[in-house]
Amino acid sequence: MARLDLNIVDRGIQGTHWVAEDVGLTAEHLDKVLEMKTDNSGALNSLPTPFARFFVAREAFRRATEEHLDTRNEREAGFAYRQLVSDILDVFELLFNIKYHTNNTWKNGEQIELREWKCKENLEYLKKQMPVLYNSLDNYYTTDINQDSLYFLVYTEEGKDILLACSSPITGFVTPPDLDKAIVKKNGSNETVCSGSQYNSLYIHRKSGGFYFRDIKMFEERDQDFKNYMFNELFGSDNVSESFRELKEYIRSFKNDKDIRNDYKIKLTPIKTDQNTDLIINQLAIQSCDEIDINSFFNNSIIKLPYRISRDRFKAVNYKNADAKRDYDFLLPFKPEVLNLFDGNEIDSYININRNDITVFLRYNGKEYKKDYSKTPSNGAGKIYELAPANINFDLGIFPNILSHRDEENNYFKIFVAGADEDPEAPNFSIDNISLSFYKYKGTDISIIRELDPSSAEFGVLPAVVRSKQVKNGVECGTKFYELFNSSFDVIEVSLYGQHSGFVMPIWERSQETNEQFRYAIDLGTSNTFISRCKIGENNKPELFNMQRPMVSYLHEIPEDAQLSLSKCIEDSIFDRAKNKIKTEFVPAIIDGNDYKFPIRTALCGIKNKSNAPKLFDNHNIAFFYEKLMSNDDQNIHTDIKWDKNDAMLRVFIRELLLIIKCDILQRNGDLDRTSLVWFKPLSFMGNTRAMYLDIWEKEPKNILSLNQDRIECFSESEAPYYYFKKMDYIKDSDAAAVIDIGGGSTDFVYFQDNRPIMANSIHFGCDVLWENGLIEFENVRNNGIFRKYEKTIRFTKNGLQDLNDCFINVDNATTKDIINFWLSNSDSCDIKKNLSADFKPVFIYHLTSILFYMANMFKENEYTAPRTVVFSGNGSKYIDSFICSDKRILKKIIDMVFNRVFGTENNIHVVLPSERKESTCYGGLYRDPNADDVPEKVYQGDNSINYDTVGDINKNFDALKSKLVSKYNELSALYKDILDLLKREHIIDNTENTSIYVEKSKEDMGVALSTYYKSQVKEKYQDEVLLYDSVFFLPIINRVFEMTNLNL
Amino acid sequence: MKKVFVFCIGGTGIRVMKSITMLMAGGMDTNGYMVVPIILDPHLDLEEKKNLHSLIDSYKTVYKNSVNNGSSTLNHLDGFFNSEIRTISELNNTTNDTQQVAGSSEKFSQYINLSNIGANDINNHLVSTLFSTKNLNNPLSVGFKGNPNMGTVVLGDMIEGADWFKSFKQHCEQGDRVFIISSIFGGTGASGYPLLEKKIKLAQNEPAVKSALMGAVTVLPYYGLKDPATTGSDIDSANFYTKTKAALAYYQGTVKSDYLYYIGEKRLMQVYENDEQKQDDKANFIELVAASALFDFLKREKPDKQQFLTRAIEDDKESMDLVSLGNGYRDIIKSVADFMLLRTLVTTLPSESYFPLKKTYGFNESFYSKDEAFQSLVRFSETYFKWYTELANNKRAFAPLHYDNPRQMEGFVKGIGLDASDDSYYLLKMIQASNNKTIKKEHSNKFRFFLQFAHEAINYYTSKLNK
Repeated sequence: MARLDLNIVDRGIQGTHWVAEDVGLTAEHLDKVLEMKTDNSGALNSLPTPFARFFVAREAFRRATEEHLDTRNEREAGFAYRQLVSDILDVFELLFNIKYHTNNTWKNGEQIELREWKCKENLEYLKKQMPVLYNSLDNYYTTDINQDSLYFLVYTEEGKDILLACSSPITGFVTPPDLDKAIVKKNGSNETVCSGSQYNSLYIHRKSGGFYFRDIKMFEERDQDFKNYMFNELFGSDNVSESFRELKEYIRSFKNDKDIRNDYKIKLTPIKTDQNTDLIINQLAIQSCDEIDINSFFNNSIIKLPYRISRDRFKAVNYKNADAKRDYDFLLPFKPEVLNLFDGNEIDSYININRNDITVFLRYNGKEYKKDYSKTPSNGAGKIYELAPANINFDLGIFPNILSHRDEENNYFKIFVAGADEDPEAPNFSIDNISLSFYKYKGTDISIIRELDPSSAEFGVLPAVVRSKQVKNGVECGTKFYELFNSSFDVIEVSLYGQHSGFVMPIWERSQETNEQFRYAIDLGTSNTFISRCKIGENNKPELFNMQRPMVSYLHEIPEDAQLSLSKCIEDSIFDRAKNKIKTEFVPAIIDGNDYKFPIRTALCGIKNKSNAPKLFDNHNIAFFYEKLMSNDDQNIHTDIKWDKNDAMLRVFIRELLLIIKCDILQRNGDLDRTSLVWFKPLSFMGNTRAMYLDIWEKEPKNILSLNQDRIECFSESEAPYYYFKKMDYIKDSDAAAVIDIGGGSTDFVYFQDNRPIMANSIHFGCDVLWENGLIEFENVRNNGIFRKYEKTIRFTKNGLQDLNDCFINVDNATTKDIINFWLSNSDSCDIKKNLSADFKPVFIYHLTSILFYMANMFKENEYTAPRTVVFSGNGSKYIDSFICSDKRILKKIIDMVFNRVFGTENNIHVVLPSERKESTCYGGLYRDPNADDVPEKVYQGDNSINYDTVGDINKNFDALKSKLVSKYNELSALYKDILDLLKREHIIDNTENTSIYVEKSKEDMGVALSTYYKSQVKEKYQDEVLLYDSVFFLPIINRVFEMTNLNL
Repeated sequence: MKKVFVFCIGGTGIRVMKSITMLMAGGMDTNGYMVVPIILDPHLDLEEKKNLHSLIDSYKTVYKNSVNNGSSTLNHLDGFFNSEIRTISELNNTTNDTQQVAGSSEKFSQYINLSNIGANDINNHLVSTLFSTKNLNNPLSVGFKGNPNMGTVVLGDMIEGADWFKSFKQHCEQGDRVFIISSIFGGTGASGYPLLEKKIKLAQNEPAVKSALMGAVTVLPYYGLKDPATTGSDIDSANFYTKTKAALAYYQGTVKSDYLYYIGEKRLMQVYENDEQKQDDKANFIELVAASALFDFLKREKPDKQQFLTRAIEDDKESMDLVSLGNGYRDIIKSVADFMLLRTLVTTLPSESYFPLKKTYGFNESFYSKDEAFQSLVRFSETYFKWYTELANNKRAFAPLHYDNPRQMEGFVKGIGLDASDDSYYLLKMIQASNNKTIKKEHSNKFRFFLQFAHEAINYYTSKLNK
């Protein structure tokens, strides 16, 4: 006998009469009821309450849980319940991903709104308008819903509102019954049709694929982020209201799901209602993913460079299967914010090269995201934007490429961008089509560094400045510069045409914190500039300034070539049209001591029309390339910046030097703000120029190196070499010694007695006088005899120099000094030294004789004894051994002769002509006791019988002075003849050479010239009260030297 | 007289009431309660509903004639038709059909005045959340199509303003009872029961109503419907159990009846045509058992706490008889057997030539052909036979009788041998009963005599079922 309760469950009652029990059918009993699946949504008719839908939804989750946990596949929930569960999960997911949709997929104004339905006021309203419904709602609302408010999720598309869901205290949300679906056969195939026709055209792309509210996607099939949000964040707490039990049990039934992780962290943000309140349903705070969506990080295109990226200098894409010999690279095809997902500036990504396309993978939180890129994209793939076929190329360089360990010291970065359209046809790509953006980590978050005005911002990027534009039929690219102030950066995003973008991450060199301190000396000469360095606390010989590693990071890979210097490798490996640009418009990648070394020409390269407002790199930079390369037609070379009354050029020049020094310090792990800086002031500086220099040397080191004034020392150019020479034991007898520092623009004299500088004097009479055109003030005059002698005949053996020479000669603003200096700088490739020595030796002798004669008279009239040692320094002094004689014995004879003649006594002067000529100033500066007294400066106008302190003093006594000087010029002329004779005797000058024309020239009247040039160069320029630090003695001599250059044509 | 107001909600309610009527006709005892059936169904033209009205009318005709003694009223009979059924309109002394749903030809959206709110009113979203467009367009004349959510709204309104509900409250007196019959897996019944119960419990101004002992039978799934995909129906019996479970869960703590009877099957043994409008479902054993709940309820006193009742069958058979049903069902079997034997008499006697009561009590051709009460009994018997046949042929079958051969009637009740081997035994016993002179003096109601003698004859043989 099989007894059976006439019930849907067997409660095991006894007998067959009605048996009463105290307990009704409970959930426990009901769980035993085996249900059939239902596929018909229309049959979800539910419960005796107007809020039946809410309970049907609950039932759907219960059924779905049963189905999920049923390992025997006996408890199918059926289509109807599955679609209901899927739809409600879709509501949660849609809200969870709302940021993604808003930012990525909703491009036509689609939006959602959560409209609050306030129970009290709306029921009151319905009581009047829909009393039948009201009566029913009133009966059941409190028992079934009991919420102060409900929220309707309304999706708006093309201006049309579509209700997607209503909040529910039981299942979070319920979808409207019209959204229920049925599968119907149409033309032999199954088609999903919504109960309400208004939903049949609803197609909202689901982030994880398919369409929301259309295809069924149970919890296990959803995205890992969403799963973990539901599992851990929404329903992970025991505090969730019991009324959510079925939903919670469904979600929690996935505890063994492969994607569920207890340690899963998702940034969340509250969902807001139309009342701007957080959406909280029955104490359940509904949130959206505040993570930047992983897929949204992928750019729609990927930039393929026609070269390989330097892996030493930049982090870029990794490849899974690329050819090791590939000649291309890709920029990282992500939005830089992707880095926020990763710790430590690392991005876990790689590229898989397929046959016709590529796939970019991004791994995050144990999950792999990917995007395909193709040359001809379809099906949602991104585009490969290949620069090579588009005949586009670009490169960038970062200066400096090193960071201080003190963030505040990372206050200046310049990024050079070169871009070219390599198509021979008219350019349609220009430097304007490239733009860079910079990002920086703040803590663990990366954010863009905005373009801001430095006067009102703590840090930022200055607007990009185009330095050069590619010109039609030109061979060079366009360039632009970005500058970051008071901030370094971690990411550079490159955008082409504003459509294609990608980024790279610079790999910075980083200085270490040590106690190393360095002292740098900068000798900024009229023609040449020299920098030297020593380590403070060590007593070693100063070092030539050369760097250990590059200070610029270029994007392109630097090939290793043992036969070429590193700087050549760097410069040669950039694309052709940028090769000159990186040399002429940017800082050298490395001061390697070979290709780039000090001294350099004191020359600035700049855009012609920007000379009034020079700005480092944007329009001007140190012309390291000067005399090696020509700049573009639109650029000028400024070679007289030391004496320019406008400080702007000088400031730019010094700024670049200081930035290079900063790199050097950091490369050597030096302590930036404990660096010492030595600069040298010429004695002949006057008035505003003097103040200008002081200002530059105070402010620029402060800005760039954070140096306080007490770390900056200024010595006289003239005295500095002495300390070096003394240290080097060049000066054997230090009772009385004189240092003659012949520079390009000036010559300085310092008289030492017992190792102490007694006096210093400077004259605006350097070696440049030899190459210039006397006191003719027109810059484009090319009457200098030396120039004229060789301008058409000079030939160079090295490739390119002949063309460069032609350029120099053909460029209007190149002076004779510039051109001759170019010849001298490249003397290894031409015969200029030999020719000058042969053709113009008397002129050089006259120049030297003038200097020696002046010095001897000055010492004598100041009642100093004749020096026991005379040391030559300064780059300009090289003409002595180059073009007169390198034999110190002969030179000694000349000097002895001069002093004998002036002092009237026999002298035995030790002559020192050291190899470190230009270097000696810097070197000496480094070793000078900073506490030593400044050398007293004395002005000597060629006569000390009257005190000529001011211009007024000279004006007042000019005739007397002139008389004295004319007499001295005559003495000079006689001395000059004797020295020529001496040199003939010593076979320094060929006996056959006719030197008489030079002697005769030297004898010609100097008085008129003195009067003329005094008037034009002094009297008309300066007020009476101006202290004249220069010497009028040389005014006619300058002109005489010029005239002598023209004697041998 | 104490009354029991029997609310019959929806199709199942109608069919269970039919069974109640049949059992009452067969002699089931209402413990002195007058049965006042109130049929709640928005279907305007449902055949089942009409048939029930007709059946009850027949019952009432039979009953009235059985107690009619000219100007006086006799006590109700023992046995057949021993309890009175009276409609609510009869209690009101009106002829209005108070069970008609007002405005039931409207669409649901019209019924709830949806057009009163503007197109942009946020309450549209609420309505769209609660009801589908199909719901809103549904004419109430076809019922709620298994949508209790609609039913709740409509029935709530119907109950609130209905004359019959006012009458019920008016006529429900101290000691009267309320019994509600509904199915849990449909539309009307599922929505009506908790709603009605709520309305009754909320009758603050009618303490007799509010405190009336209340019973309810909740009919759980017991039949299936053909796949709605093939019929286009909105009702899918595949989710009957699911809906039942959801509803039972919802009932927990919601329904407050003193006695709640559960009845149903664990599997859907019979599958009917899926036609909401016709609903000509055959009588089912479960409905019969559900009907028995009323009689059980009427015998019980007010419990200390809510009681939940279930009953079992002795053996899970497709066709149930005395043995498989178990002794608990003997009263039902006896009631059915008795009436089926009465029917045998009703059908055989008119052609019986030598029946002496033809002369002594006027049970002649004229009586059989012209007596209104007997004609009602004939009609009722025909309906009853059809009803039993349906029961006996349904799944699960209620077939405790061998009724088809009046010449071999020992085995009329399966599982128990009756001493009457053919119909002549019953005729003889009727003749013997007629010899009771006391009875003859009580009244002159020919029809009442017929029923009295028939019951005595039948009970003589079937009373062993009571043992």
